[in-house]
Amino acid sequence: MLFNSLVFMLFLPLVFTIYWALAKQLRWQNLWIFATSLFFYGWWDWRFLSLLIFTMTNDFLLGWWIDKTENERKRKWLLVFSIVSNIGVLCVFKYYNFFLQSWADLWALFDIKISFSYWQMILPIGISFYTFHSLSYTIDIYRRKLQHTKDYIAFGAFITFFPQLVAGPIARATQLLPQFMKPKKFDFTLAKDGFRQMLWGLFKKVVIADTLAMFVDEIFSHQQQMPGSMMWLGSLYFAIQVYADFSGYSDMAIGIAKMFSISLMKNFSLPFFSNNMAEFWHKWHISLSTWFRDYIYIPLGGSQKGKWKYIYNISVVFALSGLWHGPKWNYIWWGLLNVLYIAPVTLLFRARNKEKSLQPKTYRDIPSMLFTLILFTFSVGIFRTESTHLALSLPSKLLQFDIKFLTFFFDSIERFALEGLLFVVLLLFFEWINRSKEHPLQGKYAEWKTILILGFILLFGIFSDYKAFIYFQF
Amino acid sequence: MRAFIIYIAKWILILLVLAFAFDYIYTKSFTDNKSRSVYQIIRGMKKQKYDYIFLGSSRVKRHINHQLINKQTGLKGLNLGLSAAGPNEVLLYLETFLANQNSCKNIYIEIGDKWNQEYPDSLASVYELPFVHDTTVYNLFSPYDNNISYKKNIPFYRYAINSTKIGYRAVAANLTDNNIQKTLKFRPYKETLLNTKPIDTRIKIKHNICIDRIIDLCKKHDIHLVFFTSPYLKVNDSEYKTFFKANLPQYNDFSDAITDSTCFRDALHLNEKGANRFTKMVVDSLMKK
Repeated sequence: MLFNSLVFMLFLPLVFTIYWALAKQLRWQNLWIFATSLFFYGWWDWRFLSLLIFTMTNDFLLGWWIDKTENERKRKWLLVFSIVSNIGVLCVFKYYNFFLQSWADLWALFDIKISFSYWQMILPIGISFYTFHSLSYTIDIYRRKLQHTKDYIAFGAFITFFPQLVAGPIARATQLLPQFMKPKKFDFTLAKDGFRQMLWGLFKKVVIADTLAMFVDEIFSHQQQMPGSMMWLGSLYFAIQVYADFSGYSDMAIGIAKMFSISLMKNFSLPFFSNNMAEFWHKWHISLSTWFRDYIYIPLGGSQKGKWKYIYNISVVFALSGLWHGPKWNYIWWGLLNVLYIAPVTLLFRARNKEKSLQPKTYRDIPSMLFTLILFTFSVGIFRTESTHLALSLPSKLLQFDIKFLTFFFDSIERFALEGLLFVVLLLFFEWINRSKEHPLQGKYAEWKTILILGFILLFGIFSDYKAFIYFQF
Repeated sequence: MRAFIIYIAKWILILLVLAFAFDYIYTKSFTDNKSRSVYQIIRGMKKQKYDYIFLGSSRVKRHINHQLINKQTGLKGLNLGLSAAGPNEVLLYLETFLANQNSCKNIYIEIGDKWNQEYPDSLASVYELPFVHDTTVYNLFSPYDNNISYKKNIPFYRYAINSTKIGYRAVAANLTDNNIQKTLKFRPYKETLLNTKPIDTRIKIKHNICIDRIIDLCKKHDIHLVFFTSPYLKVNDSEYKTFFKANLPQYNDFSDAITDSTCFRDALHLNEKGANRFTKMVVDSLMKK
């Protein structure tokens, strides 16, 4: 079920009304959230509900076992079992064919042919999200940051809570689970703000992301014929598309959760207003980058064990982050390219950057923010390409600037090119003037801004072809 | 909680007001403009007299050079072909044309792979949706489109779900574009042989209600009706020729009239060279009689 579909517009009011009607009975309220969230997930493909329930039950039991066990060695083995079973499921469904193909390709370098039978599988929607979400529970219990829960229903509601189930934000058990353990009181101000944030997310999805998607698909499906300058435009559009799509989903998830008096972690913090790529990655998909930071980067030693160890650690984190997005080598190249962006900045100017990233942005920051946007655009183009071969050929194409640009710009995509740029400018302008707020539909003139956004959604939204959110595929 | 319900109700009301306002503005832009699409042109025609009109899909729009015909024969006529249009659209165009007290001596309708299509074509009929409150339009949609009452009664819904075709771009064009000649200008394809995938010409229905009604309308208004098939490069079945000959009045088969592949853009369409050659054939065999 998509947030931008008609059926969700019927689903949400029904779930909301009964949820608050059950406000005095926490257990029933949690059961209602659990059941409706399973329905929400099953609407896409009910067969994969069993996988979701398996992951959840497995971690519920292991969490209980780890917490009850005093023997450190046994606790460790139980955690390893939790990690292996979760990542194992992920590997089977998401990476099996990729690993086989890469293995065969490796041997092919030595002229040895290996043939495998590949599995034709549907990727269960949101598997990477709920696996990480669930893993945080057992890891935090192992680290004694959290105690296990005996309430399977509350745990089920925490894992499956529908706003964040299929595309995050990847909630932490320490932050979200306790919210399902205590009674909630309806908060009108919070619900009102949640409603507006949801509208803002919908605007980013159906107006900005889906409009830009048309141009991006057109440009990247003809990558070989396109001049380098056109690929810059396509990459810029994709950078904004993926941001509007994913942050739009996150805003909708956070907004809907607020209506249920549940607080989800912030996932984007205006990443395009960053002075460098290190700052950018602190503001983009925050729930995933902090997950990698807390559960992989810091256990590996972080930046405390020398420069080379630091470079090794961030390489591992970014390669895994690329791989998390999907079983493709261009995602891994994209991840490693980001190491090249970040390592020098962090090693040379760490103290200065940290201080600067905390300061409010001013017009003086625009040149460095533009440079960061260019770097991101360069890398995200590689991410978008349709094959490894095209990914590897893209950088050289982007580095050749040619004068065919204007001809292509106006002839091949006609009116759409200018319209796309207008949407990019509109989004960035709206975010810039509201940069001090959690989302732009807050503060002075909030009602008028909401009417404006509602009008934009009606007039410019793409409803003809419901496009799934990009991050569903991850 | 009560305050939140009132708050949401307020926003639903604002949404409805906006939807009504946008629906009114959009519909007005489509009804006021009488030149942007083939159907807008036909709706805008009143008491006009023509010697001939061609109706059909892109196999009329891209194949029949009516400017060349008018020049060569001195007749007054139009090519009202529209990409993807089938018998349902042709019937609507004809009904609207005649309802506006226009008249025409000869009507030429291209028929071929679109024979099986009684229902409104998903691409071509979108341009009729702004006029869904017209009884003629609604009646042609209603037996086939389960959502047509939503499209008619929910304000702005039909524009929102077809935003790429009748959305804000089309409205902006309605406000600025008023040139009938530009819309009806003959625009043949320029390319040669992009693909040669055979066209499915199998006859799947024995009767097409829209075609029956077209025949009745022409009889009633004393119009000379001619059916014809434009050239194909490749088809998967040729039984349609005998079927059309037996079932359609004044049927002329040109499907094998051009065999030179350099005259085709693909298996379904002629290119400029083929279209000009075909137009001359049509003039010689249908219009000089």
